[in-house]
Amino acid sequence: MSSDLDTAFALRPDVVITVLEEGALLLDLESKYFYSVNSTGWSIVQRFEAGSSLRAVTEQSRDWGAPDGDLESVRLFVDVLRKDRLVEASGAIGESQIAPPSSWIRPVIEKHKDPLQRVMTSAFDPSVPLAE
Amino acid sequence: MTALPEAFPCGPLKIELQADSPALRDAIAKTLLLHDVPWSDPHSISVSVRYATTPEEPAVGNYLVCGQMRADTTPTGLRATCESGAHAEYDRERGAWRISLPKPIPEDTEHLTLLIATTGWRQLGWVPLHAGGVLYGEHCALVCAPSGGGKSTLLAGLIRRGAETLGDDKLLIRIDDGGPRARALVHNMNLHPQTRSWFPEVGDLSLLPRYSAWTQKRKVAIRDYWPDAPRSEALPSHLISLQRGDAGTSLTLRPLSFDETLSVLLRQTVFPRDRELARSILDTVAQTARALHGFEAMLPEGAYDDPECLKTLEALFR
Repeated sequence: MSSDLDTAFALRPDVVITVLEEGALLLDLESKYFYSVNSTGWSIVQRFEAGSSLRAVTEQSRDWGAPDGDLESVRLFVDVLRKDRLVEASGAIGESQIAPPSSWIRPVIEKHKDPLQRVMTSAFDPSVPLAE
Repeated sequence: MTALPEAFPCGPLKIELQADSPALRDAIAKTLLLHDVPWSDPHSISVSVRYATTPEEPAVGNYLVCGQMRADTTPTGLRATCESGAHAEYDRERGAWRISLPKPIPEDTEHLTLLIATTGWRQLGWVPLHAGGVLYGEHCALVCAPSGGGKSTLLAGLIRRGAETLGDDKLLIRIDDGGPRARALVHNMNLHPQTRSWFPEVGDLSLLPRYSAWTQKRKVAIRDYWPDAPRSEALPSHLISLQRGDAGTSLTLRPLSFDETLSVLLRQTVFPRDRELARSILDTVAQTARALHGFEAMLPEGAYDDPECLKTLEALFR
């Protein structure tokens, strides 16, 4: 997936995010899957809000204190973003000012097992509609 | 002749309904009137309803897809259609809805009414939560389970032992002063006639009319059975995720991690496909989850045969 180091990607508009105490929660409004990312993962995700590439994210991770041994985890993290279409190809790498993670830890993204309902009972009730 | 608008309270909204006939008025009012908890200073929106003269193109569902209704975002607001041909359009700038209904008036009209209500609530910053609320003093637990998952029976079991309640399945939550606040919308409960076998004071519920063709449950006013139980607002402190356990085991509780608590709450609300709105809902749900002590309650089949089975749950709040 990551052979093209310089291809620019940006978060899809359908992905919404809320910041948690140690990381963030991403919800894909199209697939209805949601994902937890840790603090380093959240810093990487922010890079993709303006558009970034694997090479740019890798270099940024080195600046944030990532040892060489952790760069594979950065590649795997970005692979998940791309494979699950949380990011899409964008025209260019954008400028972004992101506060670095307080300390470097390997980025982790956890896809929650079951997506939210795509079809629900009503505008109030997200349960599966009863068979009628 | 068109009647003058009639006002219906509906949580934090006051819906000014203008109907072309009494039958059209009743079709919308019957859903609005379920929301019987009074709120002060409600926000007005206008709704007009008439009979359809031409069929409407079905909505695609780019905003919301329900079993019997689809809603789309439009340049001026929203439009929604039901399988029956019932149709609604929302003009965001004017804060006004127009509904057109086929003859005879279909049952799925209630989905349009709920869309109108939830849209208005969300615009006021409230997040609809499909959960019950139970209170012990200042402790408030949000009780979560899918439809038919046993929320109402559990709440009835707790209320009759002294708990108070915000209702069994419809709440609104909002973040105020950095923490979640829950408000009641409905002080009716939907109880199955079988409830009588555990809680005899409810009497023979089968004598009451079924409120929907799709369920055996009957709608009862909480105050009629437990006059001191209804409360209108609370600060949530706990979450109970109700699960069905195997027969013959006792009620068991398992603490939930923050991620698990958040996951349960996310499944109790509807996320329309609107980026700004979804982000706002996600923020509210995440901040609410942060304030809660979450527990999974495994409730075995037949648990209510043992009047002491709820003590384990009640002990959480002492």
